Amino acid sequence: MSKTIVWIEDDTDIIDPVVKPLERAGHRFVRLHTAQEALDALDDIRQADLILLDIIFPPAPSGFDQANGFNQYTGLHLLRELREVHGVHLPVVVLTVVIRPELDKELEELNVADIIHKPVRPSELKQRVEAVWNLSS
Amino acid sequence: MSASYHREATQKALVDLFADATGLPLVLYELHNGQPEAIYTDRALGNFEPHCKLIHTFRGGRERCEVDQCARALDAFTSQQEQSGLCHAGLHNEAVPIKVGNKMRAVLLCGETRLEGQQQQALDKHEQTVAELALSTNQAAQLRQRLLDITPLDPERLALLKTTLVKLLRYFYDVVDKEEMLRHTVERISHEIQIRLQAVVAEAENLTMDISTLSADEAVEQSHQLLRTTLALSTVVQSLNLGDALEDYRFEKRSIAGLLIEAVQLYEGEAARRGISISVSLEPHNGPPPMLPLSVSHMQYALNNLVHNAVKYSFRGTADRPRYVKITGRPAGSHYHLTVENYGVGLLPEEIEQGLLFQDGYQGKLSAGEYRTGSGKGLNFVKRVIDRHHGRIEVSSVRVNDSEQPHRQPHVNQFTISLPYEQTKRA
Repeated sequence: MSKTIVWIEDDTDIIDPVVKPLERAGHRFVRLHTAQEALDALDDIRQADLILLDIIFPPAPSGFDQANGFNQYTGLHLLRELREVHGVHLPVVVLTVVIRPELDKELEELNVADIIHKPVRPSELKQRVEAVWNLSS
Repeated sequence: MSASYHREATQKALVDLFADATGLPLVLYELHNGQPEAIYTDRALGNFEPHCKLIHTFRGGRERCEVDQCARALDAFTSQQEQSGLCHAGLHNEAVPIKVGNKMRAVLLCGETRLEGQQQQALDKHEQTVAELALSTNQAAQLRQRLLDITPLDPERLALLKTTLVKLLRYFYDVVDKEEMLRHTVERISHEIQIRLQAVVAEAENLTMDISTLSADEAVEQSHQLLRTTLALSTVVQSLNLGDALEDYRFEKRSIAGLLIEAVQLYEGEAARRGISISVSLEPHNGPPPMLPLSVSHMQYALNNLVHNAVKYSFRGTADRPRYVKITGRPAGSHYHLTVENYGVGLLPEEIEQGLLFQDGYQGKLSAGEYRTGSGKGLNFVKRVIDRHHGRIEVSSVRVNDSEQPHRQPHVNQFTISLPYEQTKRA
């Protein structure tokens, strides 16, 4: 069955081929490139079946706390805002280059379904995204 | 071991070491979400006077001490000035701001002892504490005796110890900051490499999976695309200047047009997906392409970097709003000028005038706000290559009005490299 994935990632222009098997399987992608674009597209996000989230990408022009903690991890701040402020509770799969145990811990606290480190094979990405849906159905 | 655990363990070890060496009780406060949070260590707590420990056994006594400490720490954070005086129970203490540069990092509370010449003031405070905590006569007498039993400390010695610890803590925070900056730099570089590597992995696996269903032409085209993606990865890695290979400059007369076309091919797919068109126009239009003495591999990577930057820092185009990268070239006396122009994230005048954008690891302030990712290595590499060719590089960035996106401050940016037709000496 076709599902909708919101992909928040500034480098989709470069790594777009990674989602080819998921698109071939009939799933639809909504590509958002900045935190601001994501906040502007809350309706799309609420209607989606999954968020595929990068961790390092351009922030919103304002609104995030740049003074504390992992201020370069825009994806973490965005996810917290989506969860805690906007009540977005759909499954989230993080696709990132960042390997930091303390970051993983924070992501787990935000109920992230899976954390995948780049580079990942497209077939594995498809398998893990579909596993999240299988587990939650 | 995670970075934050390492930091916390080092911080506590430092406080313990100093507590052991001086016999002083110490508490370090850091500000988290606007509130002071105490960093206690068991050994530093063990140095509190028996007088303090007795107060902690009374009902509300420990809480009263913590409130008092926290208030003093907050005063020091707010005023950024040293706070010195008697605590609620009559012991002398100091709250010392720890600043690195202009940034407040912590407040050190030390002392909690009786200084020479302060007995009467201490006893006055003691009476207040007895009343506040509603102590019995027996409890009050016990506490008073503990206060008088404290061996007074020489104020000069306390001042010396405090100064030394503050120096140590400043050093600690300075090291922590530098380590964190280094981690961020490594993460940025890693990000740039991994993104390109991700593209290579994805294209390679897709090609492998699809090969049996592709026509010969399609297979060739996808193989070429994979090659271009791999060369884009190679450009990122070469710009890091990790090895000595880049020092080997060998000049030969080559057409700059050929190198430029290869650079454009590497990034035109990425540009197209962003809604950006790339145009190339080299003079003379009616003659052969300009031949210049070039160290080919170096110049290829430098041009790759310039074209990639122009694409990356362009605003995305849309159906009704095309965006562009324009590359033009023209002879200018003994040199050939090549200009790469884009429309997007700008550069500040001081970044251009002071040459900051060519510094190793530097990220433009406007790009840091809009496009955080980037290794900060590319333009540094380009500058080194142009210098070795005895060329020049000039930059301009002009803000243009764009009522569609006023908050994003679009600029027309131009990077112009000027390369000599002849090398007067071997670089």
